[in-house]
Amino acid sequence: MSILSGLDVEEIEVLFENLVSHPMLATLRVAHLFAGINGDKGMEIVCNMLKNNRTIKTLQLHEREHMTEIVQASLGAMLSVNSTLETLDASCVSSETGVEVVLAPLTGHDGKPPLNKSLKQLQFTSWEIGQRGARAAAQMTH
Amino acid sequence: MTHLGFTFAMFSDPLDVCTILESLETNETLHTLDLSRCEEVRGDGVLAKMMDLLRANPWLKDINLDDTPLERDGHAVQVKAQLEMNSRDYMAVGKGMPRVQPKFARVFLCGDAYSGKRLNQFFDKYLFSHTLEAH
Repeated sequence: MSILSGLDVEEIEVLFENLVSHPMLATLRVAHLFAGINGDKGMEIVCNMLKNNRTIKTLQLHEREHMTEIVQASLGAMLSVNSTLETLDASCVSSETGVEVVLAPLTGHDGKPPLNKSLKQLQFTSWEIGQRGARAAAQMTH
Repeated sequence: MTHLGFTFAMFSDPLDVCTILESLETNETLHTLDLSRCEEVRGDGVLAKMMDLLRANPWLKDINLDDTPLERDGHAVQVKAQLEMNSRDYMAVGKGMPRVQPKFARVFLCGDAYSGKRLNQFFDKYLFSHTLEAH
């Protein structure tokens, strides 16, 4: 699935809402999204529809603008539930808390195992890592 | 996790990079660490931590330092040399060991849950028949 167009936010919302029930999602393996065009709502819908998808392996996000907290939270929530995604390649400008939110499902807490065990390749491009992000990454890799 | 990348990422301090490198000393799954184009990958502290990491962790196969201050200062060569040495040591583990006839094998079947009957036939014909013969 590759989505790149000059549609406005409302049209994108309609497109994604239609996609949720589209039969092609049953075989979706790679999703390549230019998230800056899709807007927060579009990204939220995509993350929600990928939560219970059992075929997706690769998700590439190319956000040209700042990744908002709504999108970061949607991404984290998707990773908490999805069990097939192996590669996440996210290219965007984020806040320092972004890495923490995305990595939370990959880190075990209080002796409990991490919620996500399928992710094998994780690429953050242009993200603001900072102290908090570095600590979150250290916890995950430890 | 086999690949972790922070391309063009903004760390607030080289100490943040050190935090991540330190945590990887006991990691046995990561093969690639991508720190390319990160401006905070600089200084003797980061280099020392990276070398400590590579001495402690033989599982890391690649650290990408392209376009970092560490590479610009010529230190990436040291890192690459240590990675190559680790790789050679890993290959040398089995050298000189005597070859013996295996007595048993453990087979892990991995792959598509919906794989077809051709694969089943393959296992029936070649694998299980050999196992029976061996016993």
